[in-house]
Amino acid sequence: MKSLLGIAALAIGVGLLPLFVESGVWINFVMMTLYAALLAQAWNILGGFGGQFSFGHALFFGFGAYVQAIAQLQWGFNPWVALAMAGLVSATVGLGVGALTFRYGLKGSYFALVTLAFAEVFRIIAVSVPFTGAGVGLMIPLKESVGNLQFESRVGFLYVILGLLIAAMLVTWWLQNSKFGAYLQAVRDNENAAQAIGVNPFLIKLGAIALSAAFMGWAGAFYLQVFQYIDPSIAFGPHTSVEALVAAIVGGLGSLWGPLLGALALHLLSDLTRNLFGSLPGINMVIYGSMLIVIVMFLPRGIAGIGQSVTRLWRGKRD
Amino acid sequence: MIDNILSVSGISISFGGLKAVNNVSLDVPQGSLTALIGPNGAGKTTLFALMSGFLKPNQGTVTYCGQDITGQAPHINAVAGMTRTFQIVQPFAAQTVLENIAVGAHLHYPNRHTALSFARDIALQVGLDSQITKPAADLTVAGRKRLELARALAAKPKLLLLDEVLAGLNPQEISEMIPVIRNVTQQGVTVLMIEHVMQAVMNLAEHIWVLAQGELIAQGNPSDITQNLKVIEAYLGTGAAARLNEPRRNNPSSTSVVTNTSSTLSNSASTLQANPLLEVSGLRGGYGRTEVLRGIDLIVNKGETVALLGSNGAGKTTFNQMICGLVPTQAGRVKFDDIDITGAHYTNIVPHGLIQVPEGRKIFPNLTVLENLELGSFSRARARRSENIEYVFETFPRLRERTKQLAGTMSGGEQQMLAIGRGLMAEPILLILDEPSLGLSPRLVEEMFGLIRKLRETGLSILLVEQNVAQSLDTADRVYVMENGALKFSGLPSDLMGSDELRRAYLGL
Amino acid sequence: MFDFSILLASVLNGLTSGAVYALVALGLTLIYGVLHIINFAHGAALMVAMYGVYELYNKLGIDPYIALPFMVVGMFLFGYALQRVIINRASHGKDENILLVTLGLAIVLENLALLFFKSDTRTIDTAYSLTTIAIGPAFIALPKLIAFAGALAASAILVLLVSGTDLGRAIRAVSKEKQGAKLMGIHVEHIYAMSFGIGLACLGAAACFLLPTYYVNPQVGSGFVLIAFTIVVLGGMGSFAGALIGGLLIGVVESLGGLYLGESLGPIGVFIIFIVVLLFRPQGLFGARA
Repeated sequence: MKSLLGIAALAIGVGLLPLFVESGVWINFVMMTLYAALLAQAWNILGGFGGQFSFGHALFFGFGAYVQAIAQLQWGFNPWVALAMAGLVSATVGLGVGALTFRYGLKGSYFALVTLAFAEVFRIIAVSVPFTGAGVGLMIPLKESVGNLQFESRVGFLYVILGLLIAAMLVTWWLQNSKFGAYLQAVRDNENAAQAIGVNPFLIKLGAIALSAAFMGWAGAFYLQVFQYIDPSIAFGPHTSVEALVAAIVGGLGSLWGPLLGALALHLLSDLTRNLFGSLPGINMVIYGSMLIVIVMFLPRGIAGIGQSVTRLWRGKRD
Repeated sequence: MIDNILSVSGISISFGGLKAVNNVSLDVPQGSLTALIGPNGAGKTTLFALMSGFLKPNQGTVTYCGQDITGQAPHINAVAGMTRTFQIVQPFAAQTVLENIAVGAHLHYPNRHTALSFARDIALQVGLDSQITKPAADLTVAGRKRLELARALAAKPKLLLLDEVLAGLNPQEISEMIPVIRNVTQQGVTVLMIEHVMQAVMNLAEHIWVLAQGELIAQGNPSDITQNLKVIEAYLGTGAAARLNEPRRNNPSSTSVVTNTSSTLSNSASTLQANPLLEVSGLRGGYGRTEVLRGIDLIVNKGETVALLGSNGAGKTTFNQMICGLVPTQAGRVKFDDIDITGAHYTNIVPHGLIQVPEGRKIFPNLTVLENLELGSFSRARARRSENIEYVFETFPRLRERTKQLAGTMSGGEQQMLAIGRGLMAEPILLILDEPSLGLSPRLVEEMFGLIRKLRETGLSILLVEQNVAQSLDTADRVYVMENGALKFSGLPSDLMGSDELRRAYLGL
Repeated sequence: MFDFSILLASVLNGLTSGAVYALVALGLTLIYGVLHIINFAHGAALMVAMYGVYELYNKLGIDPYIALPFMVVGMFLFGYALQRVIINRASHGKDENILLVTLGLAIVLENLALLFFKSDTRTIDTAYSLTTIAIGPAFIALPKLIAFAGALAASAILVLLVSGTDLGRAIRAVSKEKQGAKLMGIHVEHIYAMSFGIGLACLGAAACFLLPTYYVNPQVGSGFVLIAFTIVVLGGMGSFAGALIGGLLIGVVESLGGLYLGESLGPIGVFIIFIVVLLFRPQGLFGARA
């Protein structure tokens, strides 16, 4: 209802943006923000709604990016087909990791550590194996056309990422309004109580990790198309894992708009810092890390949580 | 037509060396409202866990609707129609009341709208309809208990296991819940409840099973159970049955409710001087939003042994924790040795000589016996540590044999001795003993109380908090009875033994 | 396949690095055992300590081994303050929050280092950096032997502290029975902060042992973090003996892994062990079943 209208408004709003905004810088900013929002939205599915904090979500991102590259370079697939494959492969990897970790009841810190370890393992493999271009990475040749998923101006990519993000948000909306989503949040809040009323925690968590991984995979494929390049540390390194989880937490876990708000806040903040202090190495991450600490300390429900508290106060005053 | 919806046969489970449930067999008739009762630590919740699939038994079987479901996962049992609530409420805190109930509803209604609509009906049935948009975390205890019930009901069970659904509720809330529970049975759902609130159990249950120390010691209808000697002894301690059946003395003070502590004191035949060591007045407070203590006035004089009795969940341990600074005080005053210690930080209590030997002993399992004792004098009497260790070993020769043993590997009785020894290391002025006889065999219980009497003879002031009534009354100079966070009796042991208060507080008569 | 002297050298080198890893892991074990938190900032804190040793040598000419007591005390105070002021307050008692806060700290520390020191890899050259000692047919760098001995000595001191003093007993008591500890008058938050401080103090010592033969750059911490976690998990969360033996074991595995699998693929052995242990034997070799 209201949320769906909001999503539609977002789609239309951003969709119409290029008609009014000429500046490539701004279009790029919006595109990168939506990209970060997709990362966060994907993480949110498993972390916010499922309550399983992954510290190595780049694992799925990397698989998506490499599949996208290899499918085109080695097997001659069309990039759009490759995109579909990227999501599928990532989801499968997600199922594999999930089956292993959830079967053995890994939770909390242990789960975070294992996902980190998996990401590291694959980073090392990617660095060592010629199939993935080893340390040099892989590059796709420039050929701008819609059919080839490459665009001259950022506007084309803007629409692609918008599409992916809207899809992710619709899935998130579905999590808030479906039996699966209700079961997932129940498992997050209290696994024992959920079991007592008929929820199978293992299957539910598997579903969540597959969905989450699929979207991360698509984000990875998108990254490759935009930058035409991928290497092991971008693919499986901590930067992407951190960006996904910090934006999701800052924005507000388990909410529909949280990831977008978080991505926006972080990007605005980094831009501001860049303007004030110049392009200092590492300053971005210092901001991300500090925001994480500050939010956890003072605003555990993130930015979206402020909105929820305000709405509750408002409703409370009217009753 | 199935006669018994649920049967357990010869079911047992052990944890480490402890047999938590020992060869229990019972049959729950379809459509009945029955109860499982028993003193603290009897194994009732463990039995529920075995029935519902949260635990696998070492021996025995669980049969549901004619099928063997032993060890089957809880969610599968739920789909088959067996749901349960939990002793410690487990709401989905981040979600609203309606959303919580809807999770249960989804078992039979995959469609979100239908599930929400059915959830609304259930909310109405349990009386939560005015609070459906509230986050579960904001509910009172009574509200959360109703939510527990509602969520389980929404899954349309055939058999509902209720674990202490009335615990923590005040008398008003209890009387409001009882018709709700009765209503559930009238809809054809079989209900088996674990309960401590005796008047509710006697009121509702058609059949009662009594569990003690993991074994089924009695079963029957309510009036049979309350007369059953074994049951009385399980709750009140060995020898209690005989004393309860003594001709009751017609003593006016014995049936009075406490209003003024000091007047009771002046009536007491105690030869001790009224020299208050611990003075508690108007103490109120609890955990989070729950008010557990509703205004307690209590005094322990120098050299006295005072017993604080009450059934499980009455608030005795909360009282101890509040005095010792572990739980915040909301109102009232606590004075110890003429010093105001109301709301003091827990690090400031021990140095004054107010020492507690807590419920469940709480010894340090990963430290040796010697190290446990050494920590006893961490904040007080450190200078005389070696002499005091010697004194403790003299009092408990068995500990001397086990100096280097890890405390976690000792038996319950030995751990209790260690816990008391550890308390003595701090040279207490007032020693609070919280349920020292819990889980001990009758012989050890005798030993324990013998020790308490010995300590009393050394002039130590003792506040004894117990469920074991008979022995406590033999040992104490004065006694208080707490029920639902308020004091219902204050006076001499002899007066209490013959009174109706005791029967009521413990057995709901 | 390999010459015995090369194999021996690899094993010996593995043992010396392993001893230092063990010291790092001991600090982590203490923190996990008592506070039950996974300190994601452990690697970053080690990196901070290493920069500290580096600056003391560079700016003030203080030899790393002389700097040891200052580093230990300094890192202890840093750790105490971190726990009491930030981690304790931010967590509101929830485990996931502590995870996130320590992660945030790690990110901040790592990137502040990047800001101030740039990403250059730095080393120090002491008079004895290049001295080697012969053990059988193999040659081992002197600083590595000192590191081996020093790390073991520091570990011994830590174990003595935890087992023989009132503070140590209080720390161990708090780790398993908080309520009981409070009733002894033990200030639990203070103990938490002490444990965290001691955990970081271990890093101060480790940094002094590492720098003569190792390098420092802002990313060096993250390399140590996963290795330290693997050791803690392998040894059994909360077991000191486990961390020691696990450290030596992992050091050798890493060294041999590099020998047989090459530079880039080498570290993978450690992570595979990590995943396998977490999945199939999460209590580790020495830990008790959770």
